[in-house]
Amino acid sequence: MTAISARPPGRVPTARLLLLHLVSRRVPAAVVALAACGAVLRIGLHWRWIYATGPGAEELPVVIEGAAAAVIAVATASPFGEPERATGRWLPYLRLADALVLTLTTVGVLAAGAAAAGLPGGTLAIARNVAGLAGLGLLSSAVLGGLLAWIGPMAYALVADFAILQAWQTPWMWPARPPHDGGAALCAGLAFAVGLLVTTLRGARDPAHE
Amino acid sequence: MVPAAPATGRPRARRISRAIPGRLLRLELRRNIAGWLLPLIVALFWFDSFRASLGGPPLWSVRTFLSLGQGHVVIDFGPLVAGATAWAGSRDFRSHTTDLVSVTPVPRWAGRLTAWAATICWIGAAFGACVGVMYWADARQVAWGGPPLWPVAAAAAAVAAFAALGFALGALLPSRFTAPLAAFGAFIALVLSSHAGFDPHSTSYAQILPVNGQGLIKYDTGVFYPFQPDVSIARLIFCGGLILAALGVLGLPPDSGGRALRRAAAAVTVVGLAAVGTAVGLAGSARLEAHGIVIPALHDAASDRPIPYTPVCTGGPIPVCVHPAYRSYLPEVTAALNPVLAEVGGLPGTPVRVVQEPTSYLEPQGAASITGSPPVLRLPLGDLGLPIGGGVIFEQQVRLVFAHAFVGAGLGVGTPAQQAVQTALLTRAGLPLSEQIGLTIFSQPPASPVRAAAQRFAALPAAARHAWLAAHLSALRSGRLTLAQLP
Repeated sequence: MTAISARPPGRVPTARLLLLHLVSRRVPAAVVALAACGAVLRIGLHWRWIYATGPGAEELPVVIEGAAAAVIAVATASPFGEPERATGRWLPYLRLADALVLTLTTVGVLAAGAAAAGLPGGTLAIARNVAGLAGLGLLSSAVLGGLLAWIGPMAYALVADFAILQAWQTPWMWPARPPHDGGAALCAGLAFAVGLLVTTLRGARDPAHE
Repeated sequence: MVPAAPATGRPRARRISRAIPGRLLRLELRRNIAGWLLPLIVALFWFDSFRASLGGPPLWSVRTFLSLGQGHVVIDFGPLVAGATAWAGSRDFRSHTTDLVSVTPVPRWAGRLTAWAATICWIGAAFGACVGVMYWADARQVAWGGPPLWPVAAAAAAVAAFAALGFALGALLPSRFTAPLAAFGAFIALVLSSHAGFDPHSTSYAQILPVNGQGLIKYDTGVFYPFQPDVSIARLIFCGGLILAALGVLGLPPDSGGRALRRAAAAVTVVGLAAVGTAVGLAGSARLEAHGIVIPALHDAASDRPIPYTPVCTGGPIPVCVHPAYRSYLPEVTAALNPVLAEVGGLPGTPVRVVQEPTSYLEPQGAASITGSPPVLRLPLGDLGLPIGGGVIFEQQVRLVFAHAFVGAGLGVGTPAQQAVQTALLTRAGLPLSEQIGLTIFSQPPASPVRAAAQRFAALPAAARHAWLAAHLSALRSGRLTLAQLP
C-alpha cells in the first residue's frame, strides 16, 4: 500500500501539489528569466542606459517590465491540457497561486535590481506597471493560449513606448503617468484584477494547432 | 494490375527533391504565425510610423526621417517579427517532432531555411505594403522629388535580420520562453540603439545601428543634393551579414545535414561574420561633410553634384525665390519678410532679392547671409522649424535670421551694438523682445545695457533711425561700433 492511498479521501498534500503545479508551468525557469530581467534593469541603471529625467527615463524600464510580464503570462501554459482540467479540482487555486507568486516575485526582483540606483518612479511605478502588464499578459493567455501570451504585453509595451514619448495623459497608458497618479494605478489594478480572475477561473487557452 | 515501377532510384529521388521545396514552402506559408500577427503589426505601423510620417512638413526628407530615419518602422516590425520567427523556429520542439523531421529527405537545414523564408515572405509582403501605402499617402502631399529608397532597403534588411536572429534563437535554444525572450530582447536592443543614436557624443560606429537618425537626414537632404546612401549601404551590409551568420549557424549542428552541407553552413556563417565586421569598420570611417554623412570606401562622387531645379518666385519689388520643394512655404516667407524689409528699405545693403540657400551639415543652424552686388539675402529655410501649415514661430524665425544677417552678426550672436540694433529692428517689425529670445541659436537673452540701448533705438522716430543706419551701417556690420555710439 502506498503512502498516498493510505491518506483519507478528499485530503491532498497541498505543498507537494503546489510544487508540482509550479514545476509543470516551468516556474523555476521563469524565475531565472525574471532574475535576468532584474539584472538587465540593474545594468541599465549602472551604465546609464536609463536616463534620470525625460521620456528616456521611462522607456527602457517599461520594456523590461513588459518582458517580465510576458514571462508571467507564458508560465501559465499547461502541458496537460484537457485531462488536467477534467481532473484537477484544485486547479483554480493553483492557477491563482501561480500568477500571484510570479507577479510578487517580479516586483521583488525588479525592485531589488533598481535598489539604491535611482530608478525614476521607484518601486511604486514598478509595482503598478508590472501589475497592469501582468494582468494584460494573463488575459492574453486566456485568449491566445499560454505560449503566445507574450504578444499582449509586447503590443502594450510598444504602444506605451509611443505614449511615453508623446506624453499621453490617459490613465490606461499607466507607464506614461507619474507613479502617484491615482487613475493610472486604478487602471493598472483593474487590468491585473481582471487578468487574475480570468486566469483563476478559465486558465490559459489550450494550445491549438498552428 | 499496375505495373511495378522500374527500380531507378536516382531519377525518382531527384524528382522528389525538386518537388519538395516548393510544396514545403507552401505548407510553411499556410501554417506560419507571421500571417496571424500581421494585423497587429499593421495596426502598430499605422499608429506609429504612418501617422508620424503624415504629420510632418511636406518634404520627402522629413517624412523619411520621421518614419525610417528615427527607426519607427523597424521598432514597429522588429520585436514582433523576432518573436514570431523564434516561435516558428522552435516549432519542432513544441510539437515533439524533432526526431521525425530529422529523417525526412530534405536536409534539416533546408527545412529550417524554408520555414524562415516563409516567415520572410509574410513579413516582406506586409513591410512592402505598409511602406508603399505610406509613401503613396506622402506623395499626395509632397510637391517635389521622390522618396529616398536606400533607407527603406536598410530598414527592410534590419527587419529581416531580426527575423533571422529570432529564428536561430528559437531553433537552437527552444523553450516556452524563447519567443518572448527574442521579442523583448529585440525591443530592448532597439531602445538602447536609439538612445545611442541620438547621443550627440556617440562615435560614428553608432551609425551602423538601424534606428540611429543622428545626422543622417536634414530637411534639405535630397533637395539640393542627392541623398547620401553611404550609411544605408553600410547598414545593408551589416544586416545582410547578420542574416547570413544567423542562418549559417542553423546548419552547423550534426543533425542539420551531411558533412558537405555543414561545411557550406560554416562558410556562410564565416562570410556573414566577415560582412558584419566589414560594415562596422566602414561605419567607423564615416565622417560628416557638407551634404551628409560620407563613408569614403562607399562614396560615389556623383552624389555630390547638385540637383538642377527651377526656383519658384514671387513678384514685387523684392522677389522671393525658393526651391520648388518648399513651394508651399513661399507665401509665409514673403509675409514674414515684408515688415523687416519695410524697416530697412532704401538703406545701403538692403537685399534686392531673396533666395533659398541649401543648408549645410557642418555649419551652425539657421545662419542667413546678405552677399553680392546687388545684395541678395540667402535664407537657409531648411534649418528653420518648418510648420505643417501656418506657423507663427516659423515666420518669427525668418524675420529674426534676416535681421541678424542685416546687422552683420554672422555665425555668432553679434557684438552688443549689433544685438541692440537687431532687437530694435525686430521690435519695430512687430516682434517684441520677449518673443525673440530662444527663437534660434542667435537669439540669446540680451544683457541689460543691450536691452536699454535697443529700447532707445526702437523709440527713435523712423526717419531718425533710418538716417542713423544709413550713416553707420557699414561700421555696425564690421563690428567696430560700440554700444555707447548708438543714439
